[in-house]
Amino acid sequence: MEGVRVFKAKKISPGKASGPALVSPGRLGLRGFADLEKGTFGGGMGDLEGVSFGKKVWIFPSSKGSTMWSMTLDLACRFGNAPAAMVNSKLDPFVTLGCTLQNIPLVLVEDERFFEYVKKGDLVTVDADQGEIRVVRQQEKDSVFRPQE
Amino acid sequence: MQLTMEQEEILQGKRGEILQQAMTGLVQYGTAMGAEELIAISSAHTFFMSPKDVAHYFPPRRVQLSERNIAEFCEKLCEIQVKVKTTVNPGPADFEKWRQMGATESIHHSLRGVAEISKRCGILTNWTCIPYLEDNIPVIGEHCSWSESSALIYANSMLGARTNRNGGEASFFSALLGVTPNYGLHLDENRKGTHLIDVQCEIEKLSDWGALGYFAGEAAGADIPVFINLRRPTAEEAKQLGAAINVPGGAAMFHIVGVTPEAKTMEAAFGGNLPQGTYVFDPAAKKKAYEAANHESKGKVDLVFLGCPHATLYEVKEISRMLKGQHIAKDTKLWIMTAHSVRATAERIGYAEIIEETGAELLADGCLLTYYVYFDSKRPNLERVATNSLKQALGVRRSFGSKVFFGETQRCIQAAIEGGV
Repeated sequence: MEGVRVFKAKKISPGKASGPALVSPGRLGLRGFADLEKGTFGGGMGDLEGVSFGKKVWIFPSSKGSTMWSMTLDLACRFGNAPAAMVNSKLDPFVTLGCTLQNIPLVLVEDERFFEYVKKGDLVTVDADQGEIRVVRQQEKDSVFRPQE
Repeated sequence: MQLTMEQEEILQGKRGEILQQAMTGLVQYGTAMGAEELIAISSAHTFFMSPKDVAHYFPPRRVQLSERNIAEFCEKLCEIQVKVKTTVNPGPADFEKWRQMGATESIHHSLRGVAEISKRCGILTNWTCIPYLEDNIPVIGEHCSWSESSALIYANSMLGARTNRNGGEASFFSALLGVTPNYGLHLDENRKGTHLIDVQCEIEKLSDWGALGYFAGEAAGADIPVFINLRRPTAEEAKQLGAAINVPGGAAMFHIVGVTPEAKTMEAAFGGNLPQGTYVFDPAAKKKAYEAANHESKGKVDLVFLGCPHATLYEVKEISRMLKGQHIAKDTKLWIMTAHSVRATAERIGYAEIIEETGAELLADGCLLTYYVYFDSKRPNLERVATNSLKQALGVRRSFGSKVFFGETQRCIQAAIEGGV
């Protein structure tokens, strides 16, 4: 099928989930970087400012900043703004702790082509148990999975 | 993961539901990080600011617990004692001067609640981000489970203790169980340096160490920077270096050749590995780091904040010396944040009186960044903040949209006296 790419991934936190891609090329901080109740990223986040993060697949290299990362993720989840799944390029203790506690699928991808290919709004399915990520590029006119920002 | 018979029993629930949930959390986290076993620790430094925080470390997930659920959970928790020496990071406000920080009665009530629970569980409630200087001082080789990025990097790099970068939940579970997953920095092979930072400019002022840390954090990311041509820092300087590394990055350790216990030589620091990159911190790089932390720095200053990470007694003494006989400008606040044990000593010696006579506040137990982000309280005017801490400079800008002056302590104090930069 045109517009579908599959990449190998390493399971870190089990499970399978889909959602629109949310891509951060830089390391992702959480404490002080997001409005957890609204479920949006805050000022100073560049392209992600104002972008809603709930039910999306977060794609970012690893975390930065405070050891409140996992606690901050927990708060977002309690406000009903849990991400669908996460993809990292580097094994990260904060992200791993947050995902294992919240039952969020998390995989590690070493293939740089994945990070070059994936774009915001792509429909991404993370299947941690099968060790695979499926990326479906959405057509311009197809707005079903396009982010709301 | 290989568990001992006792750990297996805890996992099966034979020692109660809370320990079972803590063990489940640690085993899942540890397995995901590649640990093959849990190892004994003798020190934990954890993080929570309210009974609500503690209760939400445990299942059920993704629900807001009611006041009653939280109270019931905490009653059960209080039947358990932490297994190892456990200290705790800053809470939401000063236990005594909470009104000055804009806390409401309900936040104060929550503070008293969490203090009571902690005491009953055997936690040393020091409420500070610098446990390594007074209440919780690990020795070389000691396995720990610590939270607080600025503290754990100090423990690994300056003391030679061994801790990973643990979130609050993980260090709390470890405190209850006395074990942590054996991966990462608990193992020799993962403590080797990765990125070489060649320091080719003057590092003198306290804020210079923050600027250097920011540069190293950007270069090394989540890996381990190795500094060469860098003099031995004081504890206060090393505290700024480690805190700043974790602003753009996520390193849990650095080496300073000739200072870090495991880095007697550059060869020892890299442990036979080749550096992944060499980065020169020259005057231009230093200028750039200062520029990253300053933002519309000139003009009226509303708050001067010193003590991120918490000020040591020596810093409090030095600040009192600089302030002696001066007066803080009418529309500017000067807050110096420290541990309550430090404040108590400063009060006894007389530093606190000197500071307070100027109109400045010597505060304890709290953290500006967590406090006004997570708690519904009246924050002071933070339109322009002056600070000697790079972590604080970027934190207030990000969290509160503040304009920021970042620079040496003396200039921050001058800003408080003159009311601006």
